[in-house]
Amino acid sequence: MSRRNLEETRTLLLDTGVDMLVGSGTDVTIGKLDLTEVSTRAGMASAGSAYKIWPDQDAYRRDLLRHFLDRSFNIGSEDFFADMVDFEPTTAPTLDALIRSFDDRTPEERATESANFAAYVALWLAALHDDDLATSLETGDSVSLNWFTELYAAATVGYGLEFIPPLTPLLFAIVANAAVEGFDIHRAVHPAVAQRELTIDDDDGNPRTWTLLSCTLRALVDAFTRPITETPA
Amino acid sequence: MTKRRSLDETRDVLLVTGAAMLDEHGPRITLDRITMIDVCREAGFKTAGSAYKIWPNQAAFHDDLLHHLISRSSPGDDALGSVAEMLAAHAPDELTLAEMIRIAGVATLAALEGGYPTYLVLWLARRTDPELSADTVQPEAEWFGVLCAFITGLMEQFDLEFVPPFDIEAFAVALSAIAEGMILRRRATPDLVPDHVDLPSGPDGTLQPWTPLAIGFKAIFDAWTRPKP
Repeated sequence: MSRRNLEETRTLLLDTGVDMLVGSGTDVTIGKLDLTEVSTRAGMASAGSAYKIWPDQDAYRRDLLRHFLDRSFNIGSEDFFADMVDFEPTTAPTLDALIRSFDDRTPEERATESANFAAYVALWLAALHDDDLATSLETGDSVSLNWFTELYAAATVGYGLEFIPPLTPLLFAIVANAAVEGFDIHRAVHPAVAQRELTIDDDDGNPRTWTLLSCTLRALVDAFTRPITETPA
Repeated sequence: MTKRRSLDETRDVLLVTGAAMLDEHGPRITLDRITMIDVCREAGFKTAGSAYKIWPNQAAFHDDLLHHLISRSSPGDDALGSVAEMLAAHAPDELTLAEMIRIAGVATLAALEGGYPTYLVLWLARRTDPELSADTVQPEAEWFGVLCAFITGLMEQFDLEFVPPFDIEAFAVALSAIAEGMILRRRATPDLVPDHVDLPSGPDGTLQPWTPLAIGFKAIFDAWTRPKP
């Protein structure tokens, strides 16, 4: 059996730690993640290898948080963004279809996202009293927010819309992300209402099923944008 | 010599102290750091002996503390009280719908931000604790009823009705979601979230400061409600 190098061991233990964090529903919080336990879960006989990489538990946990953030903020965004930048009006979905697609999830996908979001909330709480972690969180969140900002900027142009000054794609991304995360919270608190689906006519005049979150996002699009106005030459 | 406390009194003191510590110090990764010994010390007890007469161990104490948090008033109560107070400072006939929303955005955020981390601790805990989750159903439903009644009052004040198929419950969830998500956003990327943006909403188009939250509120009001015929 080939021996893992330190980098491979590091990645394995970080992935295992994140899986434990997400899989536990954050009942096991980062503060409780134990390197020996993580090593055992990763199939190692002892935590010896782990301690060649990190001097102590805290160093491991700090690395773990960065790893979690990197993993969370990389999910699919780049591909989605690349598709939007290559926006092709003849093959693109209608604007309403695009908005609905943001919240179009299977129950399994929703469960995975919900677990990831809970882990994010645990990090967010931890960051309130940990400056290093707050900085990591801010860096990861800023990257994500900038992706979405560029995505929304490209999408509005693609659909013949512009942001109503002084409203900007960045501000839209902030409010839209707040709505998405707020609904993540409320799906657990008020499931009967937050998971409700409504039948509403699309912009093509056909009735379609909208989640309450997608209705909220459409309201934000309507408030932030308008058809591009021709500026006199 | 001070009168000896009964076990019930001791329990109350320690739960209130534990909850206050959680609020004050913030949940440094949930409840783990709120130990019975620290709580007893904070409450002025010499040892944790009394606490161990009530709870056999730390886990039992944390369980009781979470239930105590549920029974406390929600951070939303403060937000509603604060919105009501700020609105009351304006003469009703001078208050436009837009102005009401603008004020509500400021007041909601200011009132929610302090207590929200503790609420999130509870939110996380009940994801993995069915019993705790079941115990939150009634207080959450009661609080949601209060929120719906408050918004219904505003709708009446401004002669608004819902655009079908939207209704008060959908509306209340959407407003709460944006407000709570905005608290996460403000702490996560403080440099990117502006405190306000100036919009020409004042008399004769004068600029007024709008928080991002109020802009979100107004979007939902504009799309889901309309003046009564």
